[in-house]
Amino acid sequence: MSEEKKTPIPSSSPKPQNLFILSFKMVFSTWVYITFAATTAVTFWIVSSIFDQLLFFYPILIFYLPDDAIVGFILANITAILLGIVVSMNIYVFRHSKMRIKTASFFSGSSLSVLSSTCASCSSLGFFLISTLGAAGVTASAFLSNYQTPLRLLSIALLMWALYSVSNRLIKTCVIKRHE
Amino acid sequence: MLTVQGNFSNQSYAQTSQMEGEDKMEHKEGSNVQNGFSPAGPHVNVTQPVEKITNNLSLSSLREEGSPVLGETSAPITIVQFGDFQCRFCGRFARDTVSPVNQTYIQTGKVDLVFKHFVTHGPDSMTAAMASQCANEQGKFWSFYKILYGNQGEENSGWASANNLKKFASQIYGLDSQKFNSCLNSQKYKSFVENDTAFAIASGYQGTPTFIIEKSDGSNPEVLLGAYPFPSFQAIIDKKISGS
Repeated sequence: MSEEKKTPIPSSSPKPQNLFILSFKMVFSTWVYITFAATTAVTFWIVSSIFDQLLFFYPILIFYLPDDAIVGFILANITAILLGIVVSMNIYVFRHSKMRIKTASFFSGSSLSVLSSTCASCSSLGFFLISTLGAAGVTASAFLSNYQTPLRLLSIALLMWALYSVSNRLIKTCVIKRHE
Repeated sequence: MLTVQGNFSNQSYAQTSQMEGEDKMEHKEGSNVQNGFSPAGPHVNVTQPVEKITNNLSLSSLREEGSPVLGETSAPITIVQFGDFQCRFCGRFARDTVSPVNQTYIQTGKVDLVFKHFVTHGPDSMTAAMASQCANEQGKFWSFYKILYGNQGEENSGWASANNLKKFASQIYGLDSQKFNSCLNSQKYKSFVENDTAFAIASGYQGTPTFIIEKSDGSNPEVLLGAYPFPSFQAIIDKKISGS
């Protein structure tokens, strides 16, 4: 009885900052997961910059940031970093645990980010939507274009939730392993 | 100074626009050309062979049919912009790229910029396009272009309604508002805009803004889709001028 009192049992729901620190230390102590995170973030950043028409490969390689794109660019950078971390953590969970990855918030966050990066009306997708769906396509592409910033904020919120979720799973898995 | 031919109304850009250093432009009075297309908008039925349409991008043809032109008649290179007044990337091009292109190439007589309508963003885009042609009728297209892209709002939110377009037009120095309003109310340029859009679709252009950078006779065209920055245009134009 006295021994049990001396060894504190880790809480199943630690404070969020402790949760993130513990899970970060666990996953990113290995170069493999840092590489996964960096690759995912850079890939997303490139795709997002192409959709936002900030990055061009032809006729010359050029990146430029006009005034109207600054807010979107900042949000896209936050999304890229979060996406890299979440993907890497999910891979860690997949490889080290028998627990299933809860993919809903991860995929909804990432796909929403990509979708909102696209000014649908100005792209081939938007043109396809409009020419195929007519008035409904106009509404859909206008929605994507007009609510781009809120959609990006929503995608960041979803990725934050995904990050919390995967961190929670990592710590819970450790708790389970310690007491097994 | 620019040379003005036929019924073109000549004006100094500096008189009507705050776009600094852009004092050379040329307008041609718009005409309502029937190309054999059925009504446009997103659903366009092309009734004319594509070959006939796509061979029609030479500067002389564009001037003849009434497309707004910025630049001198002798310029060896032509940039044709297919745009929509509600497209935010077209707005980005208008705000950030037109000015350096104008200062570097248009004012020096090397390049002409031609605008063609590619209405893809809904009903207000059609109204804005018709209104711009009404402004073009009075030689004020590029002033109107600058005002619209400078005041761009959310798509189909009403910022480009007929009433607002009339208010924008009334801000342009030297534009006859009554004539403009009458032109817009009559939808005089509806088929003109529809023809431009049908042309873009028949040519296989996928969205706005699309740019065709070509020699003035329409040869050696290079197509860009997107709001490319000035250095990209510079690279292509310089290459074409040097003839490589």
